[in-house]
Amino acid sequence: MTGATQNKSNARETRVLLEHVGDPNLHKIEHAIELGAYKAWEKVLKEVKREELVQWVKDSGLRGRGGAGFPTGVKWGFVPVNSPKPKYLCCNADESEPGTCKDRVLMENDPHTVIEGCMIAAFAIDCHTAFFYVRGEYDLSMRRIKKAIEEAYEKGFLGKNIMGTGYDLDLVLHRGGGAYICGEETALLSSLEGEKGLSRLKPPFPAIEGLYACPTVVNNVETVSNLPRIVLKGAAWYAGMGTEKSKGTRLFSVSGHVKKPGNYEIELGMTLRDLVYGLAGGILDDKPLKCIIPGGSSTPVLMPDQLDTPLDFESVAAAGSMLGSGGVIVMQEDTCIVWVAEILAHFYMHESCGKCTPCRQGTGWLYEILHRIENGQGKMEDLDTLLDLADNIEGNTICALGDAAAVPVISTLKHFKDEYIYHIEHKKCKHNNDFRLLPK
Amino acid sequence: MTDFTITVNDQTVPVNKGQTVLQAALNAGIDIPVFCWHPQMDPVGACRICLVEIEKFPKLQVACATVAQEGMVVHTESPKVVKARRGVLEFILAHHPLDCPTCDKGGECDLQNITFKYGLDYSRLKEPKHRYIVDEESTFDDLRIGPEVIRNQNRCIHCYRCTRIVDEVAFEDDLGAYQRGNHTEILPPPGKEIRNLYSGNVVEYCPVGALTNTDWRYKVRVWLTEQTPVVCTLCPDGCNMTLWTYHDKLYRATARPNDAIDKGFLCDIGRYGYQYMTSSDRLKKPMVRKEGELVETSWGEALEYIKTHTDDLKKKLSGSGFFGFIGAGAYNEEIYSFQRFLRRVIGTNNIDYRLNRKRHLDYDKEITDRKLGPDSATYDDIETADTIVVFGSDLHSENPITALRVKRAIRYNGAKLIIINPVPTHLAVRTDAIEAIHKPGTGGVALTAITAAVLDRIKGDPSSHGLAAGDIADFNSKHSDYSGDKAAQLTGIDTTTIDKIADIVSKSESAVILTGAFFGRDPWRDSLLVAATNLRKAFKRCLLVTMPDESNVFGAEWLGALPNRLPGQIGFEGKGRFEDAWRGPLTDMVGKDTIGILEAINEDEIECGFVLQSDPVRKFPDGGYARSVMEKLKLLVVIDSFMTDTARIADVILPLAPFAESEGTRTNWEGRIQYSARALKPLAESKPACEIIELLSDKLGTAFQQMSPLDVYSEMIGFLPVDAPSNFERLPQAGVQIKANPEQPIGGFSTFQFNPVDSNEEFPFHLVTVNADHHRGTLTKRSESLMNFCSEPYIGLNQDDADKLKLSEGDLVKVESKFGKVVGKTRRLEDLPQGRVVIPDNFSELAANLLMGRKERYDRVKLSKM
Repeated sequence: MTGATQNKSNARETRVLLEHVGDPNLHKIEHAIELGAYKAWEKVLKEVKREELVQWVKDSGLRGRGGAGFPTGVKWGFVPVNSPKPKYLCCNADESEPGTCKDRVLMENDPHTVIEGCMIAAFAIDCHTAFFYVRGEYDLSMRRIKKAIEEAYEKGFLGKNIMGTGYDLDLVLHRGGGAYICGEETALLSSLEGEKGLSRLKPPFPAIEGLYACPTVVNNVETVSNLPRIVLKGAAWYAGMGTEKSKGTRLFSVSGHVKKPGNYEIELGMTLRDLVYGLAGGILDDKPLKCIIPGGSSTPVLMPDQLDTPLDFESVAAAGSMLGSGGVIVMQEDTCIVWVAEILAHFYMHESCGKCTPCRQGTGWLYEILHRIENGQGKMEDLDTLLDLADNIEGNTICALGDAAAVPVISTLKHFKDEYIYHIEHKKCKHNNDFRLLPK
Repeated sequence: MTDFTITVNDQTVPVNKGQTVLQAALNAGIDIPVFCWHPQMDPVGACRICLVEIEKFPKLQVACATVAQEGMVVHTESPKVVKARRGVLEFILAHHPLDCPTCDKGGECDLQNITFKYGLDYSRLKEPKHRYIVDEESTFDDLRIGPEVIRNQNRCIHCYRCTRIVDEVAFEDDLGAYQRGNHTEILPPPGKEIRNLYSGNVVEYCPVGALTNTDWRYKVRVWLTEQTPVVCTLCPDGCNMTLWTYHDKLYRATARPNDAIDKGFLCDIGRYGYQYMTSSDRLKKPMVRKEGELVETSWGEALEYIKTHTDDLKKKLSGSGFFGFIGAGAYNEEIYSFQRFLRRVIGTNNIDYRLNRKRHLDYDKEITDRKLGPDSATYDDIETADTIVVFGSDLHSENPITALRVKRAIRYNGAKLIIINPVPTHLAVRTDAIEAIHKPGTGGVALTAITAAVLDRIKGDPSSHGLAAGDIADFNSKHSDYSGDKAAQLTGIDTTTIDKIADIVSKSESAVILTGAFFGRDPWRDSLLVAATNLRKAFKRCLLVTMPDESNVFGAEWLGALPNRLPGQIGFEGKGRFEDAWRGPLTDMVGKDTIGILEAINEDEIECGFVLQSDPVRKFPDGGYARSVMEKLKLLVVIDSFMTDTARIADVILPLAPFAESEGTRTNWEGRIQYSARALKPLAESKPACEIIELLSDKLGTAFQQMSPLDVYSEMIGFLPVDAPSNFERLPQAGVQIKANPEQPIGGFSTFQFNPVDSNEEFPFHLVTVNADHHRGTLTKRSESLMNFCSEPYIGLNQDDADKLKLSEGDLVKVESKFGKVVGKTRRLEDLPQGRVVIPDNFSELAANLLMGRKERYDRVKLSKM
């Protein structure tokens, strides 16, 4: 498989969410309104019944864009709307998965669509106080969303008795403290409550007992950004895009050894080849491809022979990986895979919240072994230990962070065991890489 | 009665709806290991050691948090579970220092036990173990994080039991988990210590040796010790404890979980208070006064001395020339045999345990009021109440475990807490309580104002609150001066607060009113009781509990430590039963109460007294008077473990063995009779009270042949309205409850009469006595551990008042009243209202009762800088 011949592709983006992105004034409310912002919100408030809206979103086939791909309308349906407790919507903008920066582009460029989506989602679950949890490091995103919320209040899209319809909605911006774990929905709720960001046991699921023990829905930024379009253009229009079970478009953040890294919005179902070799311009220096992480660092790698996998939830799952958060990390042939695993292990060790045992102790242990192998002090039995430790972590933790840490180890060992063995036998890497990111 | 069954390892296990898989399995005797789970706290699922396989679940589940569903098939020993469990144990042990030989938890360590049972005997970790560096210079990893708690973070397995006890059980905030991931450290907030009243529980419930206390460290190995079940004697809560001894020496006290009472938690006062028994200043030999000096002597000589003198006095005086004071901290058996000695051998009814009251209510009225108002309540009544009113009580320091149960009611039942007190108390912190602070002496007005506001809210439907149509108008006509703005003026509580309270009260379905020492020591508590009873009637359903201020007051009242009541609260008309039992005539001349006794001594009508485990000179709210009067006695016999202020003026001192050196039963505030066993042999020549009283009885002419507490118990229990076994060792752990007054009183409202407090310009401050942090009574100052929390008395006042007097923290200040003066260190308090001075009554060196006048309603003092 050589790269050069594969670059020819007619792959095109399908820009729905990114429709106006690039317009330098899109973040200003007057301009956004000219381009159609808040029309959907007005329509929802004035013409649409709550049940109707939920049904539309169910019909559209929209699935969560945060990682798990759960159908959004179904998730809303779990909320007991007749509960005497207040209902809460939390928009998860704590985008921290390595390799992923798709929410950021929406928040920075099109904040009004993002918050309009939040408002529609809030309406769908009869929520009157919604929260927007933005990643602490996303400074511009935070400022853009903050400004957008202020402008929306000024224009009367938020607040009491919105547009005379009697509907009240407050949207509260919360800036995270900079923890990866707070992107996990239960940890996000703990963090919002002012606690340390620790994940919580499920059940109870947030839809029943979430923020302040009230029914809560947590939706991703990209997910809610689709809502204004679905409301205006209809569920059938949205369902017309994508594959049978994976509808619509999706943002992919392509990074790594590609000529044109960036965010690409494509219809679900486009092949990985078209994305990487078409839109992203192929591998840097036209080197051979080593492997691709398709959905953020916690998803198993796909190999060059899997390039024709269509990018939809089912096909990627069938190929043994996950669509995850859409962070596509491309690695060329002479990337040291042990080093990759070490970097990722270090990340998960650093970000483990420490609540449950396997993740707290296991992530560090994985890192220490990988660090040793990478530095030429590995032993052959370490490979069995790595796999066994990863197996003892996977599935045994409260949240998915433990799984996320185990996956890169299992997946790279599966495909590149020879490289690990070379490291151990020769006490060095077989590739000529002498760059290191981690401090010794 | 179970709702359905599940299958665990092919065994059918009954389940009550809502139970977790773990609870069901444990009940069925199936062992599932746990670290982070604790029966009294919410499951957190952090340690993952209880992972089990449940069919149809894709992943292993934590048994501690998975609610059992009908028909579940659970495997706790399948290959998948065994592998995961070993994996978890390997992770936990990976960086654990394995310093078992020097770890105090060794022998009772959950990690040790579970590793032996389920773990591997090797580790695959090749890297050096992490070490939390406490001090670069030191080879030890210990960090003192509180007066009693020492942390070794390396041993910690991050189960978060400690932080959850502090947060969920104690509602405190002085311990948390800092940092993240495998750097997570258990620490108090920066610049603070863990010093809450329940801090010892974090040590007891640490499953490993990460948290230890100075009490137990490096002293003895757990497997060498013997354990004795006892009941705590320091407050009327009646918590169950285990005393740990080795070679007849005490090493520690731990909780002995009793679900009816303490739910397995102890306050620090109980946990470390036992140390007073090991204090070096215990009295070891009898003493008699010779040529003005107390000198050690033998038992024979001391008894002979008493006999000679009492014989002389008896010739001159009848039995009414004698008296007895008993401390209500004694065992039931000791109280019973003491009053029997006085009544039968000495021939007097001059006996009382109420030493800290300025005014005694009419005897019969007091009993009647008690029967009319306060009810037989239990801890479970508190926990299931939706509204709890704490009136005239620092519940947190007076009844720490009752306060924990109140917190459980708040946490699990959403109960609302209302606190009405003359000074702010700690219970209001982090409990979302409505705290109403009233001017001293106006508590009854506050309650009356609340009652009026409640009645206003329910006037449309009084019958729903069990009131007749005319009751409300009747109440309002009699109490118009004590409601609304007038009440606000009098009490200093604004009407918004009263309204907020009334809103809660009027909506309550089931409530409890708890009163405490501020109430009990008020000379006009009869009027407070009327106000409280009226409020109680305004509730739909409400129990009124007057919390006693000493541990066995309930026992003292029911076993005859009153001048007008025989055991079983029987009046003198029923004395025939006792004359039969005690084989001799009894006087039916009503005895005198404490004030009557002191006055009679002053009038030379009483010349001889016996004081058992009590310190009237220190406790009577006119210390100077009590002392000068008691000094006039011809013969004063003090039976005590320590040289108390009263013992110093005694003619004979008999050394008493404290509770752990004897056995017997105690009665807590619920009226629950519980058995407490003997842990130690009496020290030196000291003897248990029952034995001393039998020796005295024998010497003075009437032996009962009842040397042991068991003998006394089997006679005593027949006079109590309970169904109890004839041997106290067979009492169930939950005890048996005396049902004082099972019926709810009925009828309309009584009239509350307000006794206004005069202002006094010469003495502008109100004196309020309180418990010092981590102290109760005067015994606890002999506990080294408790002295680590608070080692000296202080004089607390509002910081603005302090500013006016130019008093900085720690400055010496003189407190003067008409009756005396004391000097102490200033403590500036932020939340104490102006015009109050608080002095802890735990330290003899700063005796607040010297400032008190027995005829003053409220004690007024003035302050000056030294």
